[in-house]
Amino acid sequence: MTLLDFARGAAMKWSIAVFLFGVLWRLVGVLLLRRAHDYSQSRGPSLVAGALQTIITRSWPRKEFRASTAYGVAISYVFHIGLAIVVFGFVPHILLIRSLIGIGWDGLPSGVIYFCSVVTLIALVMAIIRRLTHPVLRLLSNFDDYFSWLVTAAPVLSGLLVVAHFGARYETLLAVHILSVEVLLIWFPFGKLMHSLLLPLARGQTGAFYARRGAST
Amino acid sequence: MSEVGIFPIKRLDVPQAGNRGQLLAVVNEIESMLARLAHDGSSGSIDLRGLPISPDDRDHLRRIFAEGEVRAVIHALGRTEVYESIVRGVWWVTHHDDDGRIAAEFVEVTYMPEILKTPPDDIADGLETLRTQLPTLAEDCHRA
Amino acid sequence: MSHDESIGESLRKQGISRRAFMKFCAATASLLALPPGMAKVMAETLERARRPSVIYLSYQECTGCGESLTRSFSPTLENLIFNMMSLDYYETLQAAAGTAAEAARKTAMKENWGKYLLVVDGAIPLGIDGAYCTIAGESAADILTEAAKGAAAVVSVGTCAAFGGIPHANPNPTGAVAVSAVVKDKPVVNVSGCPPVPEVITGVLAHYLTFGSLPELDHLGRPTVFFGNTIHDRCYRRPYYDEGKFAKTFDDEGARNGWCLYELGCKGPVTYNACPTVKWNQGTSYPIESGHGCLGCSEPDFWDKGSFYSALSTRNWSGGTVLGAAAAAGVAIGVGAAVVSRRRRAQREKEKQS
Repeated sequence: MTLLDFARGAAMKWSIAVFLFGVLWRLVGVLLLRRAHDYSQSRGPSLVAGALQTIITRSWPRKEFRASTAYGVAISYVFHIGLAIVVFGFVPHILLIRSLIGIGWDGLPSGVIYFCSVVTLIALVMAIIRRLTHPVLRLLSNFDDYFSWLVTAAPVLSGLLVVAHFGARYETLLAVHILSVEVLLIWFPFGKLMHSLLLPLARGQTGAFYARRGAST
Repeated sequence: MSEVGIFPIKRLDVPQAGNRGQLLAVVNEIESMLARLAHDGSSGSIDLRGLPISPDDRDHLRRIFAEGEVRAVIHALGRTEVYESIVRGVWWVTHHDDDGRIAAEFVEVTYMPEILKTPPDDIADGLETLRTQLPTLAEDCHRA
Repeated sequence: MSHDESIGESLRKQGISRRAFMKFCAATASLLALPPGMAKVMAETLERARRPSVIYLSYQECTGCGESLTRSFSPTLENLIFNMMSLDYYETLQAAAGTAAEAARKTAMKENWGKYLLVVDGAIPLGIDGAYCTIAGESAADILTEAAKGAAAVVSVGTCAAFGGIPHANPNPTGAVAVSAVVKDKPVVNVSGCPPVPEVITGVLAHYLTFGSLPELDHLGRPTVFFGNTIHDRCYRRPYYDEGKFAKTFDDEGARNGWCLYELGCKGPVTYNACPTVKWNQGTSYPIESGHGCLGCSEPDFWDKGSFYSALSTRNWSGGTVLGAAAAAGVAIGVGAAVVSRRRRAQREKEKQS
């Protein structure tokens, strides 16, 4: 069995199993937590609207903090959007998704994907440099932050190497790329990457809380 | 409709349109070889076997380097066709085997392709052939 | 023709002119991807070289490799390569049978001990002491071991000989292995493919004749001159891959336009072979040019790598139950965690009240 067979076979199966296990564990665990009864009367028109509004408004920095956070927010946006385009727009990725869940769509030209990957990688590098050099951010960062960055950046870098056929034979590069994604899948539920699923829930909860009290968020 | 054996097949005339970028690269390569030939007389050659271009692009290349003033045919282990293209100094050499299938194909950028020149060994053979005829010829002349 | 005669002498006797020989060398140099100038060097070397003895052994195989090889012979050009060597034993083609055939092999081995080229096609079964394949009462493994002892080099022709191929495929009932698993102390060249491109077989032989040595090999023992690039690297449809234009079925618009076959399961990106450059059937086409993806037949275990028609980036496993179980376990533990948390909280509230 070659490394590529392993990456496409057993490693993929078990990493997805760990991903599903971990994600469901955390999501179900959070969603079934008991909420304290609030006996006060709601002062907002709609809790759902409040929740949705907060999810959206907080995705943009407030005027007061804009000067200090603009740089961080901008590079975060760049790599988040870049990752979405690369992960869901590249034809080989779409084929994988279709083989897993049966749903597929049309892909983007490979040139667009290569461009986006390079931009994403640059933004990721800028993000980690900022984390390492920013005095406050550095104190706030722990292993989870750095490791989550690593497992996010590694698939982008290895994917670019696959496309460029650079550094090793194609099948080895492809295997390393797939394995790097599998490490991400395994780490995903147990580290900060889980924010991609928990963030809307947390923000929605806050939004609903404030909407009930008639406060603006 | 054309036929492959007993199975009727429908022929679709959709050219396998290639990528003009690859064709352009080949033509550029020939251009620089021709510039070298003009500059210092050094020859160059492109092996058409190794080119990853589509059949359509290959036809296009043939049209750019269409037959010009000179054409030669060699009968050695099958037919070899040599012609100078309309772009002078650029020769197209096609080696066929005995069944007429292409064994090798080159674009040669040179004053004259090597295969047209007589090798010294063959000259020696030629000389020998001629010399065997001389005595008979001499006798005939004397008699006349 | 005697073994002592030089190739040049032998060719002149056949009435082949120097120019014709140059043409042959040009074609062979092109095949070996040598720079055109090498044709001259090749001609000079071959002229003086002696004709080597070749012993060709066949084991667990379908004779597809032999068919491929013999189909490559146009009456003149490539046949010339075989005129340049003395094929002393080949069961498929030889007239001799029975003990006479075995005697011919033993004589050839004895006369050319240490110098002959051993060509093998087919895998070698090691199960039940090699009893799955025996010739004249001897097992394939034994004959091969014996023949390899006196060989200058061994050429494994076809994926079965090179990597075990189809006999070696899961569940491998006969314990089939590659030639290199039996022959450990001689240089082995793997000319893989199912079958290999015929010109690649003759190309390796021509290289051996010209340079007196085996060509440079990759990590799987294959000559890099033919196996140095992937099918994908040299594919004329590659630009469509880069543009993201893919055929979705074998008869859609994309397929008719000659778009990339990646989505239809083409294994070109991970398959190393000379198909796109040397092509098949005297340079007519190769599978992708005929509209079908590459099966990856020149790679080890190509038969066991999942469907030929599923794309390379897709999964190569089944097992919904494992995922179902993982999901169920995740939900169960999540529910358990929530229940524990709720109980603790209730407990704390109770304690507060009391």
